[in-house]
Amino acid sequence: MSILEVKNLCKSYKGFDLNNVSFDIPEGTIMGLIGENGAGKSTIINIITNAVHKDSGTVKLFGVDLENCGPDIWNSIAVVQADCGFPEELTIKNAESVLKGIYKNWDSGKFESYINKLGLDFKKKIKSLSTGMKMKLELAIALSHSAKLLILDEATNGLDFMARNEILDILMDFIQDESCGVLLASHIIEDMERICDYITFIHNGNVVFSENKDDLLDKYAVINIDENKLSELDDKAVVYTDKTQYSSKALVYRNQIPSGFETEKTTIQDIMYFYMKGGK
Amino acid sequence: MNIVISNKDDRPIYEQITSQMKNMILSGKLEEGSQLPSIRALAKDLRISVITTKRAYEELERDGFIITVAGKGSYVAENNSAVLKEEKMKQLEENVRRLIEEAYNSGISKEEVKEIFDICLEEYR
Repeated sequence: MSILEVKNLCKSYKGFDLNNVSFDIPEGTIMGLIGENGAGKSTIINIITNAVHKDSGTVKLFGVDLENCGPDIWNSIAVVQADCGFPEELTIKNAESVLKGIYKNWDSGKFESYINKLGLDFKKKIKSLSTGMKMKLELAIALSHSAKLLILDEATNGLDFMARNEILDILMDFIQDESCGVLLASHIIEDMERICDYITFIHNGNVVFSENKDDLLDKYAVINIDENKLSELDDKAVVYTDKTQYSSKALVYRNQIPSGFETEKTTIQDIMYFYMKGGK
Repeated sequence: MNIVISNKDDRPIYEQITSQMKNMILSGKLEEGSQLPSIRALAKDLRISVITTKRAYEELERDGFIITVAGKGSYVAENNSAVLKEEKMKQLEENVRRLIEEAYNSGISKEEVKEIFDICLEEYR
């Protein structure tokens, strides 16, 4: 069963269309949802969490159509954003008493252990927390009400290296339970790329690809090459090129490059860059 | 067991895992029959994708280095001396191929390569 199944999702706004977006998060996996700002990631998340109505298409959460989702399902979904929406004057302790009332499955013991593990303090007021700490608080909350689907919406942006690594560990911990899944939406995934099982790339409201990450990294390579040599390559082998005055690079299909050409390992970030820049 | 995942390494991550685990098995550092960490536990430890780790284990199993027992876990395969020999032959072949390519790029002829090879073999004996 899929944790989340999105099929042919469409939504039109003035000047922006989400077109036939489809992707799947199988159980026990992490999906990276990537794309530049304004590509449509937040619209997708808003539809999944029922904050915005779709025009057409289907969304299934744990096998249940969005329209038929009850409190049990909503309780097992947690959205983590960089900024938590709590009143600034509340302490973390105050916030917890509010949360206890909201979530049926609230686990105080778990919450306390995450607060300690993440270096937060119950007595601290929300307003005194840094961006990174607010994000960690959100994550602690998400993990304390037995969520099965964790949605991180641009949540790790601006976090320092140590904090990002802590988040990686927590996500990997979370995914040890095979009935859980993670949707990691960001315009920049950097080191998070390593833990993603699948990547869905959204560009101008369209899915460019939604694939197994290892397959993507196998399929594409980057080649540093001078322009004359570039023209020796089969046109079909070259996806996009990036030429400046003194250098030229190309994104290529690895299996269509004859031996003798030196290819470099690519990253998801590279692939995204070439696609967004476009042009041969 | 110690596995190093390097971003500088040009090989994909699953290949870095399989080649290091193969070496540990070939050298006896990982003993026959010993249990390997679960896919999810190893993925967590190395901070890499579960599917990447799964692929590494699947390839190790396909090549006869490990066996997976449903519900119990993965183990280093026993009595795998034939597999080990074959793997060593494969590694050797790859190395020789690299040498030949290097020779070819430097304009060294086939006969000269053979000559050098024979001399070295002779010396070793």
